[in-house]
Amino acid sequence: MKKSILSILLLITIFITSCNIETNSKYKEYKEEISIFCIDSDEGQLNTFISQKVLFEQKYNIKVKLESVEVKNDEEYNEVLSLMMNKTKGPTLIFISLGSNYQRFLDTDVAVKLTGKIPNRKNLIDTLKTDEYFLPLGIYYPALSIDRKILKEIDAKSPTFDWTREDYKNLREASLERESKQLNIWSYNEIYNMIFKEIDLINEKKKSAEINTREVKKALEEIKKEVYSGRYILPPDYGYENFRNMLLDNNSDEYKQARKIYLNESKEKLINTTLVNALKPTSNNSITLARDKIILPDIPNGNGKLLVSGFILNRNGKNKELGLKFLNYLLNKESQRAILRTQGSFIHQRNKYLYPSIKGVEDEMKEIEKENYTHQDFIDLREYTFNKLKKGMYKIGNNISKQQASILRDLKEISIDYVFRKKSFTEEELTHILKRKEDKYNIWLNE
Amino acid sequence: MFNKLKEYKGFKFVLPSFIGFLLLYIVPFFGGFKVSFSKTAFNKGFVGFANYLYVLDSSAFQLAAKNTALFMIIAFPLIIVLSFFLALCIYELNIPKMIKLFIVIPIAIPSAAVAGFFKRAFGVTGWNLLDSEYALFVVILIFLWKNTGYNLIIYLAGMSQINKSAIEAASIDGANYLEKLRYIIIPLLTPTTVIVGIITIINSFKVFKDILMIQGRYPNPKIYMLQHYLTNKYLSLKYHHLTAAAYIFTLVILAIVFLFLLMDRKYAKKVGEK
Repeated sequence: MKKSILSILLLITIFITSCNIETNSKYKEYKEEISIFCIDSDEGQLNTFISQKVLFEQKYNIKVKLESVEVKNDEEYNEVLSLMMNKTKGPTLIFISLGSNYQRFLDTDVAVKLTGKIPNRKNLIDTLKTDEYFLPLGIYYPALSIDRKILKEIDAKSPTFDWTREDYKNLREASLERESKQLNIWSYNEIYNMIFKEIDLINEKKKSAEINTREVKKALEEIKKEVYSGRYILPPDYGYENFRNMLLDNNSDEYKQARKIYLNESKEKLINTTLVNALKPTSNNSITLARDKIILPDIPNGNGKLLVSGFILNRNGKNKELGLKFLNYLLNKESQRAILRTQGSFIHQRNKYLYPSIKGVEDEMKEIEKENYTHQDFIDLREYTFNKLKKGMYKIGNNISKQQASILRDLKEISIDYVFRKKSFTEEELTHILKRKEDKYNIWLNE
Repeated sequence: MFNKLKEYKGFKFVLPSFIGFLLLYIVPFFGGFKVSFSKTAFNKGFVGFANYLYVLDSSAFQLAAKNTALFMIIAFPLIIVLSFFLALCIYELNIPKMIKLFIVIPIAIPSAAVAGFFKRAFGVTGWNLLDSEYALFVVILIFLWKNTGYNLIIYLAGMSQINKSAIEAASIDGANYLEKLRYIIIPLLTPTTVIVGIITIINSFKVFKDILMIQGRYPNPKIYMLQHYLTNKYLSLKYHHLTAAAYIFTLVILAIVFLFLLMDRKYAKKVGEK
């Protein structure tokens, strides 16, 4: 009995060991390894990016491994980051998805300065060379669409590519005059952003928040006036709590109801957001789109911000030299052309419409446009946006200050209370609330 | 041999706890030193005292240090006097058990419930003191309410250890109650007061948990404490500032504890001493 048990155990051991040897042999094909840290939700985007990964692995005999993690919120992300970056041989590269904030890597000195370390970096579009710690690989500039039919109905002049905030406002006004809009989270955000985007809420020099000011109070009053101007349809039976739910809680019934109406209404909007990249508007239905819509680049300094996606080299990463080699490879013309050639089947996949970050691919772009029978309006849009980019008119908009974003969120909540509360705020009450927020941000800015 | 082993028996009992303390507190504590002199936690480049200077120069740290000091200056003597007085009343007057229970019960109430109650009573739905200039008094109130019972138990234990013959002898010598209190009870309770003092300092840092629950990471500036500063630095991955601030903080605490021990050595009396 003992002998048979022993022989079974021996067999199992041999089986397991032989399996391991076989599995390991697959990895042994590669001489060395680098790894990329990313959030699991960004993995799809990253895969598009590194379609050249296999070619790189074969050419240099280096394995490129993904280390993706699942995180629920910013705090959890920071905890994971802290663990990963503290390792002496942590992930080699950190993937920054389109539009993600990478300031924390600069503040904590995780990012290694890349200037002079990647030969192909010289190929970058000059505007993108400003950040020495971040390597952009794909870029995106948002575009808006104007409905030609509604534009004709309101008898307004077609805006041109160099339209301004003032033009945007005038068009919006005209569209509201034509037809009232349903009040929902999107139309409220539009009102809120339009009014608050023009106010400086942080004094960078003094490192102080400017919230309890006459300007902010005036802005709150303006929002209230606009909401009750008669140009918005407010659900008649809604009270303060309902409005709060509709505008702040995405799981509420009020929100879901508003969303349903919005989805029907948005088909007939004068100005609409698109998911078209103004730098690569190669949609295969550009002819149909151009017939019904005018596609314009978003207005700079408004919502119009150049969004980038790329990599950061981790100071404590393993095989950093190989990581640099990989980045250099991704910046060569062939790899960048592959990004240019990547197109999704759905226009919603913004990452598939990324424009390369290097110079000298314009001819390739023109070829793609020809292949796709791209409408001339779209070609003009691309050329205009690209020229603006080359001239440095668009700045990278990934790193909005955390405090600025948080102030805007807080003020939005206050504005909802201010607009919809049954009992109006007294001057003293409003001052107290705004002062409290100002104190909070003054501490945060000076920590 | 057996006797020698018996001598170390006590240490053996403490050993598991000591090992845990060493590994989980002492080693990381000293490990943090390197970070406090590094550029950041992820870049170990030596920067001298730059992080310490940054922290000391930060207006948020100054505000936090000021608030914490003010809180300690007011709350510390208050809780010592209050718990001593209540313990004395219980000891001398034989107070009913029910009242004793009421004094001690706040120790067992979870922080979330305490925070919820105080938020309701002193927040916008109540007297609205938490957002006012007087927010610190609410924090002191929470601290007193939660910790008096604990200190009181230690004082009661100390009082029960007092040699009654010394008090009786004083009565025979014609001393009134206040004289007995001043010349016998208080001096004999000095070691207990030192213990209560050290525990109070430790517990006073825990009040942060309640403030955090009531007002979040950035409360009314009047109650922004050093632990807020440390927590915020932790959450923003700025461990180099966090460790520097923590060592400054620790130095101050050690100085206070050292003062207590000196006080104990100077003022503690035993029965029979002059």
